[in-house]
Amino acid sequence: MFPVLKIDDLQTHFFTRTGIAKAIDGVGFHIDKGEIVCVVGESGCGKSMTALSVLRLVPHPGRIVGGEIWLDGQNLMAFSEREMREVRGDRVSMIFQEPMVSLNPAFTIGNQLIEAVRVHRKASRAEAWERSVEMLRRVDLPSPEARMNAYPHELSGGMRQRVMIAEALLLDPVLLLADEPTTALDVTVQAQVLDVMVRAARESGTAVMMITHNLAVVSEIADRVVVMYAGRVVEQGTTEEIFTRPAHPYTQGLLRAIPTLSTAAEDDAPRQPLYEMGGLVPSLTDLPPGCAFCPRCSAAIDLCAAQKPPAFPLGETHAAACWLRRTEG
Amino acid sequence: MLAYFLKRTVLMVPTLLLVALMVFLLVHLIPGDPAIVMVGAEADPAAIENIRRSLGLDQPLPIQFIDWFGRLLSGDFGKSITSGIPVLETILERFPTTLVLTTLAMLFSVAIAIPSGVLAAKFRNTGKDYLFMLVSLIGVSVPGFWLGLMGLLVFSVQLGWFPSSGYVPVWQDFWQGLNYMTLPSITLGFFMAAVVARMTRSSMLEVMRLEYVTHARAKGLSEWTVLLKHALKNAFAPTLTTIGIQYGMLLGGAVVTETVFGLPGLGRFVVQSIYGRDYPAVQGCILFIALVYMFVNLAVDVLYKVFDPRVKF
Repeated sequence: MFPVLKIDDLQTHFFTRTGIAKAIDGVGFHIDKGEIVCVVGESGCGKSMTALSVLRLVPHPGRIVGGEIWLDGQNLMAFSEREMREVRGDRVSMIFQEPMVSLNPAFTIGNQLIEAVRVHRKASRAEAWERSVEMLRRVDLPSPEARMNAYPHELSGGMRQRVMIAEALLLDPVLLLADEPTTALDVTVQAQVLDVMVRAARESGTAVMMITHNLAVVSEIADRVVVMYAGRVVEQGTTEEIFTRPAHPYTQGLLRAIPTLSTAAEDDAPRQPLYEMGGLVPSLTDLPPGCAFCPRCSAAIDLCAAQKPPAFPLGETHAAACWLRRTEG
Repeated sequence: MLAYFLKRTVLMVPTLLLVALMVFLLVHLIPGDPAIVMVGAEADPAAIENIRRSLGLDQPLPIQFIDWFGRLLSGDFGKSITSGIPVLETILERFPTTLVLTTLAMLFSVAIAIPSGVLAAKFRNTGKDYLFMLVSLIGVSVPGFWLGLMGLLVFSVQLGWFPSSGYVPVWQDFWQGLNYMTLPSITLGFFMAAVVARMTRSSMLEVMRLEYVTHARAKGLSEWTVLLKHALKNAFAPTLTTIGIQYGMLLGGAVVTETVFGLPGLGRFVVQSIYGRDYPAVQGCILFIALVYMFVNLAVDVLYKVFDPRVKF
């Protein structure tokens, strides 16, 4: 059986006046049916661009210059724009980071939901209305019928994000791209919204590619984790593998940078300052010839600066792109 | 909503007072004396003085103003010095022509401007966009009277598509009237089309960067639905403001256009009245135009709500 999504050596570059920014520089991973995969990494590492590349909606002046994107065994790169439109919102949908600006302020919630149904399905307005209300109910939006006639500005951030989730799952897509869906929300509602999204996705058997930089969220919901750095995948594996046996120095650094609360028993232990990764992310227009993380890596060897490391398998599901993990043979 | 309407209408009174004061002062600043214009410079000084007295022009300016404004409040615009006909009567007789002219000009320019602004935004930074920017730059720069004369020369005289003189009101014979109005309203609307198109383009570009536009694309909508539904409705609010402001320019521009095309509208009446130093007529017309402009702006502000539901009254 085909994986729901398979990305192979994807390259998305931005052709700017100051040079070519390699936002995505050879990314590859896959997502199986019904699986939740978290893509983590710091801002600007290409997480969001990966999602937009899957929908082939990379904004100008960006362009996918290489690689393959397979959806259910079909190569999306070979699709016409018209065929892509049939994929978007139907088989693959997306939730954006800022619910404040991702819903159109000039149209009612109902208008936007009904539109999402009717662009892909032959449904009367009444049927689309029914389906939308039903979906709003599934994401626990209070009094869904009344909300259909509301404008986005009349809803709170958490409610808007529920609307976005409802819209994204309206047509039971095979894949949901969630770009930091809870980052912009109040901490108190983040957990609820996340919970609703994961539950609704599981119910409809939708696979989720969840972009986040919140590792606590990752440990809670992810089946597998893809760690990205400067437009490349540096490590991927099951959630357990990533959290218990991180193999790439960058992953190790990320995990060490999570603040922990000391329990009463540990109170006597001396307080440790929070770990901070030294150095900065390299400029995407001027990536080093070797490993992009090399300038910040304390374990780097000569080879790291000279040559890009391929992904070395560390197990059936675990791989790291690091020369230190080079397997003989 | 009704309360907002009433509030705005009441607020018009102080604005109107200010406009009235300015109009009054400006008109009286124009060199020349209506009495001399009426009887000629060589006339007997006593006769001139007589006329001045009968017109109330011998009074100090503040008294003249209070006198005029007081009668204005009761709806009396005064009588024309030159013809003796009540000014309001002439205004109401001539305004429909100007209203038809400016409305047609506005419809023409919006019909041209919105699509070309949207297209320019869609093809931003390509040859098509640059061509559009060039044409609209010409549109903004070309003086209306020149455009009017060129239009007459090419389309009426050379090609004979439109009549070059004469006038039939649209309410007498719609198609015939439209025929007479086409060239003047295109001439008048050209400048506005350029301004509105540039505004549409820039507000479309602003909106198209926003996430809800990407979201609309991610829903699988066609690019035209994304542009014409999701982007345009949001981009239209600032454009609407421009249209409202430009309508005022149209009312002003009508003066030139009506003169060039010989239309019996309010604009030409103003010009004639200025030549004749017909103080009550000039003041009355300008005040009337200002009032129309204020109502247009009120209408724009109310319409705003349609395009941006976040607006509260």
